Amino acid sequence: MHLLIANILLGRFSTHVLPSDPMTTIAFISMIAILLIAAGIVTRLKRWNWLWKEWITTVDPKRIGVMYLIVSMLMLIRGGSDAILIRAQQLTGVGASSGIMPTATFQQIFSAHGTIMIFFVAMGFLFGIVNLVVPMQIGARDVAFPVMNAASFWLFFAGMAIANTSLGIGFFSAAGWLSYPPLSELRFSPGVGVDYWIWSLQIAGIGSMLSGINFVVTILRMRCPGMKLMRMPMFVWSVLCSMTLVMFAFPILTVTLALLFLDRSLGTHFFTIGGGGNMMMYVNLIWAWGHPEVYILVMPGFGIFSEVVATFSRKPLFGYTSMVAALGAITILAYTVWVHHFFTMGAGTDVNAVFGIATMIISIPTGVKIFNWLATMYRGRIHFASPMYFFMGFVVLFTLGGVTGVILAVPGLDYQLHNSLFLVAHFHTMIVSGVLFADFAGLIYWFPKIFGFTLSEKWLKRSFWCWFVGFILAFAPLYVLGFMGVTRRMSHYAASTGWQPLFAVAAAGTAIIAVGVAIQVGLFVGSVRTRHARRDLTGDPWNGRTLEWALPSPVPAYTFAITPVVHSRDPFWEAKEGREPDPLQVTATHPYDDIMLPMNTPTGFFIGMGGFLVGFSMVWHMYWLGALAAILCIVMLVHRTSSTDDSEYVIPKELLTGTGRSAKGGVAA
Amino acid sequence: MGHKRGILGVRIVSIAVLSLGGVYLSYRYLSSVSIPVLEPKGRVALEQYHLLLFAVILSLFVVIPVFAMLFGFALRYREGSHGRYEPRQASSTRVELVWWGIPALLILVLSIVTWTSTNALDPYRPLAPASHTVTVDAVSLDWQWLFIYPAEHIALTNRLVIPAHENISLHITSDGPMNGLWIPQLAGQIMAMPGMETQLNILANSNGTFEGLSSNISGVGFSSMTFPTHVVSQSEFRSWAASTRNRARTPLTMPSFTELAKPRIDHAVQYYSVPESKLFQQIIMNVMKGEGVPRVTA
Ligand code: HEM
Ligand SMILES: [Cu+2]
Repeated sequence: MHLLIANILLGRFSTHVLPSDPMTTIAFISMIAILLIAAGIVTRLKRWNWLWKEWITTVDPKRIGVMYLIVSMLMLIRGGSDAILIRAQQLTGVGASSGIMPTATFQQIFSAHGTIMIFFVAMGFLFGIVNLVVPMQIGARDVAFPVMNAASFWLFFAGMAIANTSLGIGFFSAAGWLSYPPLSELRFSPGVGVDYWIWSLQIAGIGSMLSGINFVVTILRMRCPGMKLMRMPMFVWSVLCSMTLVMFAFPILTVTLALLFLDRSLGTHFFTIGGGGNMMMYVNLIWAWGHPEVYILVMPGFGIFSEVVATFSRKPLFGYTSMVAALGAITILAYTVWVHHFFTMGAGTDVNAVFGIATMIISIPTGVKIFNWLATMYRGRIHFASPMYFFMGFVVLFTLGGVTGVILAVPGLDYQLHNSLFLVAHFHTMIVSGVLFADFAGLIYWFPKIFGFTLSEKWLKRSFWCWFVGFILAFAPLYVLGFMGVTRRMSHYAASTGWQPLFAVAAAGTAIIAVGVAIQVGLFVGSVRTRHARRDLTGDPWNGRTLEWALPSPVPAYTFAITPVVHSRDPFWEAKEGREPDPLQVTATHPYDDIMLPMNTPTGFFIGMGGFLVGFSMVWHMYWLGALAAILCIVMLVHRTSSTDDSEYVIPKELLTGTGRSAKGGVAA
Repeated sequence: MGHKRGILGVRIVSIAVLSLGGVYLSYRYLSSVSIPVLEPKGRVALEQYHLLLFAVILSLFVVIPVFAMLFGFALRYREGSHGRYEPRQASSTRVELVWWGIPALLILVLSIVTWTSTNALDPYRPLAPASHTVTVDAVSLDWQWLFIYPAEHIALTNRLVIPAHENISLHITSDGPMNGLWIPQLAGQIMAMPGMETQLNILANSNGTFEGLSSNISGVGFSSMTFPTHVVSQSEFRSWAASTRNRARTPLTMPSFTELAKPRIDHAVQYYSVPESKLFQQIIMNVMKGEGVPRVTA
């Protein structure tokens, strides 16, 4: 009887849940230590109240964006540490030596690396930059659903927390970042690992889906007067396309994960062969989400580089219409190629050939984008600030990665290269250049706008060189290893293969990347300390073109003192050239007005914490707690939507006088 | 200025020395190791190799212009150089048509090649008439390979022996999670999936020993699922099969298979006689009925 009650209350949670191997124990202890130190600092500085009022309960997309960036940077360090461990294992697991860690740990580490890098680094940077930049670029003060936006962030945070909790309580999935059945079914992966993976993605994924809806609505409904669709900055277009993909792709992920969890918890047979299910269904579903996901990540990267290359070439983006058409084509085609991830699972030749060709067709609009960027540089006056370095690195790597992608898209070649390190090298080339480099460029580019000071160009360039050279050393050997028939996720190999030198080079490259990351962290700290000397007083440090550069740096809470009006694609540039009025000009017919802003609320935070509780209790089969937390989340939502009276505050227009610009261009008195 | 030039010179020289050293070391290294995908010994792998060369050469038509323009424009139009500056140039239908068109043409060519090569390299397509075909049933277990020769009535684990110049028709399934059967020097990989049968045809052009492996993660023992593939002459193969049949003491039946299929990480090569020629189908049926070998991964 007691046991039954304990079972119901605690599910599978027992004292055997703490980590057993030294590696994860150390990782977990250091994580706890870092958290405690952070909490200590906050207490010491008496900043808890500030943290709660200004950040945790905020609904300002700028602050939410900053929080996304902080989490992503921390997760880049976590995922990067995983990468170093993977490299160390493959360097040492040779011949008689089984390497520095048990295989079971190794498999958890690469699964965690992939999951964390995609969901909590790439997606986090993406949503961070989108939150910071999109409202400013379309002349809006806010997003369409500010509280939902906060909830999205806290759900993302909860998913991150669930994945990291597995370090200390239980263990993580060892079935790879996409956890194919039957390996991920209960029979082959008993215990909580795969469930941690499921619920981490499930909770974060719901947050992403809500963000997708939020930004599509924001972009479609909240543009300032004059900003027609075909006048939107290219970054906004890329986000619109990406978020449209999110809206349609993430529900597939949610359903797929739910079905897998049902298989694992209630013994259903959606994907288990034995009960009449079929693993192929899972593979199809997960890639029907997974392929769009890679374009969700990379399209905003394209958008960022479009802004960067135009600004630093001092020319309008070449072929705007082509660029929009290319994004549109990619958005649609992204749904038509998922089968290229499993040519080797026995599909017929016609199916394989059709999906191979569909995949190659996507490279046409992608190629067009590259040519348009190059044409933007043509007859420009290129200023090589650090974002341009990342752009140059991106074009080099992305072109080569694109070639290897087209090679993999030929089914006859994929038979030889699928699941090899060639594939691993290919997707890292695309993701690191198209997503990480783009996010870095975007961060550097918009940093002064958000924080009011610039970063050290000298160290930024050094960090670029570490990333670029390190990347080539870390991944060029992997292409060769792929040709040598080395499969991915391999923990051990024979010494006679002669592979070890290449793994050594790859490890050295990874170390150089790690130096790059250390430089990035260091330069950030250094630049903060010297920020008074680096103030961006003009609001326009790069000689920018689009609306956001017309704003002062850092941007005030209300973003725009008056509603801007635009007349072209590059309104600020045109205004600086004297061809158009200043978009933020205050005139008699366009005066200051009261500004309404949403009030801070802890709703989003509580929903996120509820999400964490749902995920955590489902992992441990404490169903009652999961259900309770889910109900609480819903109650909070209903409560929030039914009490709208005190949700906004007003900044009276009298307070704004002097913050906009007069007709002469200076600050109005 | 002169000082700056000096530093630049030192940099260029050291980068040149480093890259030359790198090229030399890579060359030394690469000529000392085997690169199976680029050293094909089977008919399919050879065609795949040619296809690879074709795709790489075709892609140079994009890579070279892109790199030339990227670095050319970067040099010519950088701040402080004397390149022409046209701050308002923003589009040109003619030029844009060119770069929608040229990639489209290249992809058209590659699509045609893809269509024909996908058919030519169809792993299900026999490479020789039935009279010159040896059938092998491959079953991936946790974590080893079982190869059954139904016509020869023998089976062995973790080693594949096949005749050269004959079509080897592999029928593949898994009794555990998904694995991938891959012998890079002979042909591309095909997944081994539980409850399902996939096929792969191989034709080896020369005798020798070629490494085979599992290309898909299936649990803790997956990295050790390698198996040597011995390609021997046809007569050697027949006599090997006959002697194995005589020597093999243990018959492989459902009970002994169940014993064999228990999870283990080792590399023992074991020989069996196979009295029942439908064993492979039985294994698949059992998995489909949910009666596969129950197990728990470590
Ligand atoms: C920053 C430097 C990085 C290094 C050195 C690195 C290294 C690695 C290594 C060694 C593997 C395992 C290869 C194998 O299976 O044998 C791996 C897998 C993977 N990486 Fe990275 N990685 C890096 C960045 C990233 C980024 C930025 C992302 C995505 C945003 C990413 C996503 C993945 C994924 C999805 C996998 C597959 C995991 C699996 O097999 O389930 N990586 N990486
Ligand atoms: Cu894909």
